Amino acid sequence: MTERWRQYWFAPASPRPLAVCRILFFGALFLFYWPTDFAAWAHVSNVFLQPIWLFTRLHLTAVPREWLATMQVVWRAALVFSCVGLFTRASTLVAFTLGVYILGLPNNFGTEFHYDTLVLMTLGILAIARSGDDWSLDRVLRAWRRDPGRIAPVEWSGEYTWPIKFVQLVMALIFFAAGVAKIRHGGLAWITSNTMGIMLVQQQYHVANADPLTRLGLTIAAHPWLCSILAASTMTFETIYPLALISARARAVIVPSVFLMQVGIRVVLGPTFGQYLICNLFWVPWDRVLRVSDARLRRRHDSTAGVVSAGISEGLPVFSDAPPRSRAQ
Amino acid sequence: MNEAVPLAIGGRVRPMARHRVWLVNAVVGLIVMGSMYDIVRDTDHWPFSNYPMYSELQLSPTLTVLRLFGVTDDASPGEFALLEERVIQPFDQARLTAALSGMAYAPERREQLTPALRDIMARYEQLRRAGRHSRPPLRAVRLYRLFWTLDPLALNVDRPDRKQLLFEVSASPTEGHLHD
Repeated sequence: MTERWRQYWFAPASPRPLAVCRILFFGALFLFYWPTDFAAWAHVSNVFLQPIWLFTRLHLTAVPREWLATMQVVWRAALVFSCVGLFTRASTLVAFTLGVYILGLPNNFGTEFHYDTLVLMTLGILAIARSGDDWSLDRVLRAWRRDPGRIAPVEWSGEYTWPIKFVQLVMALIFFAAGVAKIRHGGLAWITSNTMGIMLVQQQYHVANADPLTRLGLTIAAHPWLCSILAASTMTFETIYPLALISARARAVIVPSVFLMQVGIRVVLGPTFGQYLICNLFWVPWDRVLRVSDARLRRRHDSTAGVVSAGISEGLPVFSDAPPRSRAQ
Repeated sequence: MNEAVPLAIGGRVRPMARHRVWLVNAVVGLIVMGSMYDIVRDTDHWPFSNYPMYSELQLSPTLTVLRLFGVTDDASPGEFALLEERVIQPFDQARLTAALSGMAYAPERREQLTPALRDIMARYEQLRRAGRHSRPPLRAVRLYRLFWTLDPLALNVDRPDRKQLLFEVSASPTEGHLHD
């Protein structure tokens, strides 16, 4: 059992998939939150203030607008630095620490929303991970100081396995919770009643944080059997989401299905789950994607150079750092 | 403390330090326990939660919501719903409705409606003057409870069955008016 646990979390892996996740996650986060002015919350009257559990426990209070604006600038800079891998340990730590306040703050006003919880936990995971060991400016600078012109390959380690698995686990816990909540509060009637149909129509009346992108929900609502299928699929996929952690077959079905479900929610119901969609990048098998990219590049290079079977393509960018198959297995 | 965990399986593998393994195990345990606590107890401790969104049964094709309306500062004042995020930011419709519901439905918090609505009206005007929206100046803000019988094609979105005025504040520095 201990060995299986250790193999699951800490089996040695290439640093590259984690580096790709770091670049894409922080880059996407920076772009996603760019239009949001968190400093505006400093203007909101304290009569709206209903401190959340975390702010109460940490004794966090409202800060003046100037402070909040400065924190926001530093936070955005930390996201960029984390993306490019510059001072990665410090920048990911700052991104998380300030993220607790900046992402948590709006939830003290009126009600708690959970759009940012996955992002915050992922920031926390990356703050303690060694995500800047590869494809980072830190690595380039380190190599340049030691031996200019030569960047040595990074050793494989369990350090590059657990962060990805951890984000996947957090996602599984969140969707499992959502599935359990539907079973607990609605039960089988959540599927068999017209709950889904009624919700689809209600959302057209400007009740969510954003209006549905289309009126397709009304068409679906007109077909109770379709609503029941949607409700059953939603409840099932959410509840069994943890299976994706341990079964490759389940993962291949559940993860894309729930991804599409969240896209569908935006289209027919309205609520915006952009942050969750971004975090799906932790499910992408980047090692395989990079290997395929390498192979394609080599084939293209070989064919254009007229080389039939070159073992090594000199001068080509190499994305994957996979060792020979015998060792990788 | 820094003893290596025997995970190395090849020449290019760097074993993890034992304290790092313990750190990760501890954080995994913390997150799992925090999540499971809220799932089992059906509670919410942000960023942990039971994620109850959309989990309640909807058996009646009706809708009741609180909604803010702005009263224009014209010779013949008109009303329009404050729906768009750019006129109520940093709130959005869902968060604002939840915030106002907390005050309107809790007798001990009702007195907060006056400063709350006045705050929304002041920010509306600030945003208007800053050119962030082009809606007209307001004379007052009204909080209504709206009732709908849902239309399958949502054709009555702008025509609720009933519109009950709950509260009103005007731009003049007088107290808000409670309408029960």
